[in-house]
Amino acid sequence: MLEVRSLNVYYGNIQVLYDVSFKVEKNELVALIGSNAAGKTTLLDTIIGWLHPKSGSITFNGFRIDHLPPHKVVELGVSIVPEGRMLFPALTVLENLMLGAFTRSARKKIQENLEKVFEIFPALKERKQQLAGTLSGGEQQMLAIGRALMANPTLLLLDEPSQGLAPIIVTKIFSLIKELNNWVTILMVEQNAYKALKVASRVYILENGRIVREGESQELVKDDGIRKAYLGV
Amino acid sequence: MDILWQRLIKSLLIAVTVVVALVILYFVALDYLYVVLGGVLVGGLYALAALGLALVFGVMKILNLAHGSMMVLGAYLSFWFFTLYGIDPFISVVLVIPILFLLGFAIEYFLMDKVATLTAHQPVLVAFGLMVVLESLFMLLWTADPRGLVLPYSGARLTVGGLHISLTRFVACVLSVVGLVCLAIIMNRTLIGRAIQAVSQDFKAACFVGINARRMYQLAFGIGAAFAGFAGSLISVIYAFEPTSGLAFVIKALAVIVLAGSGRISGLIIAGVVLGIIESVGAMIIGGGFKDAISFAVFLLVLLLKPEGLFGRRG
Repeated sequence: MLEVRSLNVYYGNIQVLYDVSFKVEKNELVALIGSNAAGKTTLLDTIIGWLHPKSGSITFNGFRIDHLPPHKVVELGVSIVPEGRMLFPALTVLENLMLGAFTRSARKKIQENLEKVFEIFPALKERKQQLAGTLSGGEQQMLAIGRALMANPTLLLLDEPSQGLAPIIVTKIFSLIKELNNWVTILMVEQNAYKALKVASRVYILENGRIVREGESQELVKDDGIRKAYLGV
Repeated sequence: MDILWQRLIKSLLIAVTVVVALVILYFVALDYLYVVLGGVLVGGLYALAALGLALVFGVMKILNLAHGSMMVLGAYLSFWFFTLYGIDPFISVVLVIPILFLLGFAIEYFLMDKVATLTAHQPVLVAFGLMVVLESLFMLLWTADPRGLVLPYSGARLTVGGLHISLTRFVACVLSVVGLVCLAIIMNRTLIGRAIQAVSQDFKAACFVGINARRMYQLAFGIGAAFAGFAGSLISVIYAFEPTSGLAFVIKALAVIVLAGSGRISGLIIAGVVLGIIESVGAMIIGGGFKDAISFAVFLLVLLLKPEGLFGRRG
């Protein structure tokens, strides 16, 4: 479904991603794990079209998307839950969700998707008239995911869904992500390797802008090097 | 809903206070009442002039110094429509608005868009250059002579309970308020308005939900220019104007925004009216020639003593 091939991405003169290649198949839940500054957010920003690669290609369902702006990529069915959530704090929960369905294709399914989002996140329904900036961290993350779902995506990109959340909420968010995977293909980048390995079917490891390992989660959990470097065992 | 009620009650209270104050003035000092009323009427126009500037600043974080010259352009267009084709400025305004909208859209598309991603001051310099270009263009097309519109009904007065109010000023004020309300509706009730708000709150997030943020910039700049033209058309009926009037207009609009302290439309209306009243009362006390100096003084005093404005929040 998504194929990234030999991607090289720069910020000005500084190269951030080196020759990154990976694949996400339909209905998979793939995790990219890596420490701070490994290039995780850069990678997602490039897929969604906020950044453009210097070389390499990104194809989504057979279309080259690496030179499209974000609104075109979103229209094609890719949607992102950005790092730090990036809600519209001065708009209500409902207004945030409605803006999530801004593209033409999403507007047609707006009612259907809204009901689905409220079914997955009942807390959002209760607070739909509340300003997004007044929600708790966990609720904000739910709203960010809900807003991304309103775009009617076939591929959902999640940028550090556990960031800044209490451990108990993190567990809850990850079980929700697992559940979401029944509807939509997911590519998630995450620092919390332990949790990511638990929910994802396949994992890539990103270090200093390069993919250094890949494999099934079950295999990698048993790998000694991975256990030492990422799981702290 | 609660917030809406609170706001409604607050605005009702303000309205009642104003009416009571006016009634007291009516019995105590009729002269002053006229001056204050004149201030109120012109205040609506000030708010309208400030609106487009506040919109562009709020969404794009650009201080559009050419805003005043766009108002002057609106005024000249009205002047043209009237002298060449005899179209009443209150009618030709429906032509001026779309013309200025297209002009603003094009300026953003071909000019601002190219510099907006550079540093913060570049768009301001471009706006300044635009102002100079517009002023020269006005000079070329309409000479440096001050122009004013004398309509068949310019001297007409409305008489309400023994009070005489200039008809043109009254109509201009009513149209200003209509314009302000229209923009409030566009911004809060339409998809495009919501999208513009989203872009102003978080550019990147707006892109990520599938909004073409650059297009929203173009629309916002176009709407800003359209409202500048709208205000300019109304001004042409009341004041004389010349090619270089733009700077005074933009400073006055800025004074309204600083006084309001927020881009919210109700705040702009009240700030516009307050500035209008201060200006006309001040002009009565120290002389009409000091009118612009008075708005300057208000501008500086607000920045000095209450930088967050009447309705803004500190920090």
